[in-house]
Amino acid sequence: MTAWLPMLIPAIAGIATFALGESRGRARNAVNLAAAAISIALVARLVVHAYNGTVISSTLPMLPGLSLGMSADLLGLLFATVATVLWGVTLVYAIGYMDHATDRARFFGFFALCIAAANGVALADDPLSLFIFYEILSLTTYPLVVHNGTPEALSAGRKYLFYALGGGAALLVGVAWLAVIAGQTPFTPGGALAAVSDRTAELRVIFALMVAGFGVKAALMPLHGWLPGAMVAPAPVSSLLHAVAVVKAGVFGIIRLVNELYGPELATSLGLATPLAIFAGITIIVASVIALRQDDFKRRLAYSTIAQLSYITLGTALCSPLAAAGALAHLAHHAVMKITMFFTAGSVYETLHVKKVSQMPGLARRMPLTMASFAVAAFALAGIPPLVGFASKWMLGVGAVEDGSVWALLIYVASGALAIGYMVPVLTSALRPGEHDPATGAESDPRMLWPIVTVGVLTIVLGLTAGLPGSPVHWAMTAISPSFGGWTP
Amino acid sequence: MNVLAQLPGLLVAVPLAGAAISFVAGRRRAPHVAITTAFVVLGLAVALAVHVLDGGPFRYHVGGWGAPLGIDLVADGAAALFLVLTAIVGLVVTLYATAYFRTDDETAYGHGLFWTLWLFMWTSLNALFLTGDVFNVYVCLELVGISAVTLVTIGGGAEALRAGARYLFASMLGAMTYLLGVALLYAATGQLDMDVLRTTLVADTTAATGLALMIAALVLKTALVPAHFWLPAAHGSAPSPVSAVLSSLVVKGSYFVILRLMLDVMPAGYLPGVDIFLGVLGSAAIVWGSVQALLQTRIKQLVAYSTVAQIGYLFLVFPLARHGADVLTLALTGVLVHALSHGLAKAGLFLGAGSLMTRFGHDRIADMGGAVRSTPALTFGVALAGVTMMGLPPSGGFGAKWLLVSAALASGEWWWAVVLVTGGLLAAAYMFRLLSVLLTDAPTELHASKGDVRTEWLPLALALGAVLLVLAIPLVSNLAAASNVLIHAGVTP
Repeated sequence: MTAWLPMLIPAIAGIATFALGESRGRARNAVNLAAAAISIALVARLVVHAYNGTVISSTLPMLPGLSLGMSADLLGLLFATVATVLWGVTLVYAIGYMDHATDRARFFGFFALCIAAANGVALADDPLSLFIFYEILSLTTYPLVVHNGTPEALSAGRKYLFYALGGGAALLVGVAWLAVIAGQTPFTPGGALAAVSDRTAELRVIFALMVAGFGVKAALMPLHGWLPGAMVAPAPVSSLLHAVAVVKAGVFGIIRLVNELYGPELATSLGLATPLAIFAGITIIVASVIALRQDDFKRRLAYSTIAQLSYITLGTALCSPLAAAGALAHLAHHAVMKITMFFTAGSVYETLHVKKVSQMPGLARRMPLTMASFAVAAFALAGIPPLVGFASKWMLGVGAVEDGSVWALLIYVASGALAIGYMVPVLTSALRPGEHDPATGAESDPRMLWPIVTVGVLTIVLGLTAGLPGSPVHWAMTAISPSFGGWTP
Repeated sequence: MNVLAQLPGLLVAVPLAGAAISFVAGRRRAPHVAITTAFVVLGLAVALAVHVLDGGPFRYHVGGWGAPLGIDLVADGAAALFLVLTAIVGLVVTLYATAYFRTDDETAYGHGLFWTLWLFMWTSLNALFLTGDVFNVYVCLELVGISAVTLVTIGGGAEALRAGARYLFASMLGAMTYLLGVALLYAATGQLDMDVLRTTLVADTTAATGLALMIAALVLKTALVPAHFWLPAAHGSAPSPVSAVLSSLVVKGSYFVILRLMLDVMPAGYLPGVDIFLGVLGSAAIVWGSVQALLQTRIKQLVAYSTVAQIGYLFLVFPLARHGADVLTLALTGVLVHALSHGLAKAGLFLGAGSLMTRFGHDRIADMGGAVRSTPALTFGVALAGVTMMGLPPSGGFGAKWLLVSAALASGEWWWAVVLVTGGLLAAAYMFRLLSVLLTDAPTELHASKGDVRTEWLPLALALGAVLLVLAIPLVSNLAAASNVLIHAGVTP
């Protein structure tokens, strides 16, 4: 039962939010914050158990011969922790951001349901369960994307659905096909398909279908088209869903698929890993180059997200233990960095209506703490030590070399340079003297400012503590190790 | 005498008694009679389902006479599922109708008759699900058809009368064709009881022609493409509670007879090629109905074309049934889950459409912007019903799609899976075309400023039922295993 709670508590909070209605704002905030606090405590408890070797799991019969299962293993808990902790931070931010907005019951209700679905994806024990929560995530995100109800938002929503449901259909066929040939296949470190590994042709098609399904949310080119447009959503949605929950559900699906369904060995021997790595490599370079040319702040961040997600996909597809662990650590690290940046984008828009990089001169003096946090996250994203991005990038790069894939290392290095290329102009623009005078007002609403500073500080703290037990790096290595026969660095 | 053994008889007698009482009770008390009857019938249907789960299928001899002289009712798992579905939808529609017909003009022609006609149709439907012989199917089809046509026209208006006339024509044509088929079958075999036919049917041109005519007639009554021409007008112009019942239940009545004739009565391959042909027509229905739904500008027409599409899924079981007991079990469970989830969701969608039309005072989708703000529960209900239509998790529609896709992949005929997945995406296209309007931030001018709690919340209740059905799939598959189709196919649960 406990394994279900990280999914159930946000779900209950979401339903309670709808039930409370629009007018009872105080109660709504209290319910959501309390649910986030309880979920964080619960996930922390599960992490302690998992570190001690006890994986709590639970199943529920559903379809003939198949059951729905949740299992709180270290791999899933890493994603669940990222989603739950950042949900708590984002709630505070969103309460400030949405202070004067309408339809807040709908907003916070679906927000909580999205987190429920993300935690479901994280802890799902088998492909069917994962698929179910993956689709729920698509559906519960749609109302948030179209929240503003403008024609632009609706058109972005339509595009999002087109991609998400198309990907979901491919995933459904893949998962059903696998169930037909292999029955129930709970995720197992190192692979769960040994019994049917001789059905190579079918396994290849199923892998392609599943990658197409996960690739949509992981924004693997050419399936990324929905992501830049979906940034029309309110900033807390962009922050949490398009930097943390939704897109990470996609890459997390790929991590489960490669490491714990097919297993690195089978994925390599069937010749599936290399094409996936090539797609990811191309995505990194192309998306980084496009990011250079975006004047719209959120779009620039969106393309940066596309590139960074493929870091994770590429690291996983290399099927080398160090790169796989780096990929998993980067899932957590990127979430912290990118949420800082999206919070910043939301704050400068909500406070000063700045949407474009070219409108930023003077911003550094007007909102020093906000922009300082952004700067830290930007340098971290470019992989500058000792900030948080460095550790995972180092692992990815060294893993690529150990694997003999020097081309992948070159891609990582090149994209690091490109990241500096698309992040530094934001900072130089903000540092230039300009129209935004500090005399005309303070920084943003404190409920928005302090979450930014919190995640900004987190990018430093996690970078400095990367070598300690319990850090995302250590956690990722422990979680990935059984997939590679108990590998230790 | 064992009371449980009397359940099939009671399931016909109780709504019939309700119909008679509601007629003499007068229009003020008729709704109370209908609500009481609905609760009793629901209890009886659930009791029957439990009894079948415990002891398997059983027969009931009406008046104590057995076949071939008397009338036999047959209660098996599949019939129990349809009876429970009918009872749940029937109860909700009855409650909704107490609000819907009250808001209309009190003196409107025919509204007083709604309760009697509706309970009478319920009686005939229950009899149709239970009847054990092919002639009584004819009687029940006629009774359902006549009450359905009358109910379509109950609101009056030129459009409803035109639709009713077309529906009457289709219904009569179907019934006559069916009767001709029965006559041929009887001439060749001298038997009418389905169970006797199942064990005695031998290759014979006359009998085969008779059965083919019967199936063609039932296909017309089920509105399978291309015989769907009467459905959108009839379902689209009837009063909303009637539309809900027609789309959700009435088409399932004739479908259930096809299911029994094709998979239980006739030996495999008795009518060569018909199983694949029905599958192809079903696929065509999914695509054509969805595309038409996408093009509609009026809300109830959209929902009606969605029914044309959703009926198609039910026919995919026939080609899949050729691939052995395992695939048959998956496919049959799949279509039963689909019939249930579509029944609940489509009733919810029609009731929701009716409430939206009452609130807005018109039926143009394009002018329904801002509904999410003024009628959130209703919009949420329509959205949830849509989730089941699309077959997305977690919903009964997803369970059905999963089972059918698995059956298709296990049979090796993967192209049926492509049809299923495409159908889901097309359903998403037409549902989101409606939802994207309801979700816009437009200022709304409402015709009726405040909805009744029944018209606001009952569509959501049905849609939630369709979603929660996913948790009841183990139960449905147990009932499917207790159906004569699977028992006679030698499937051991």
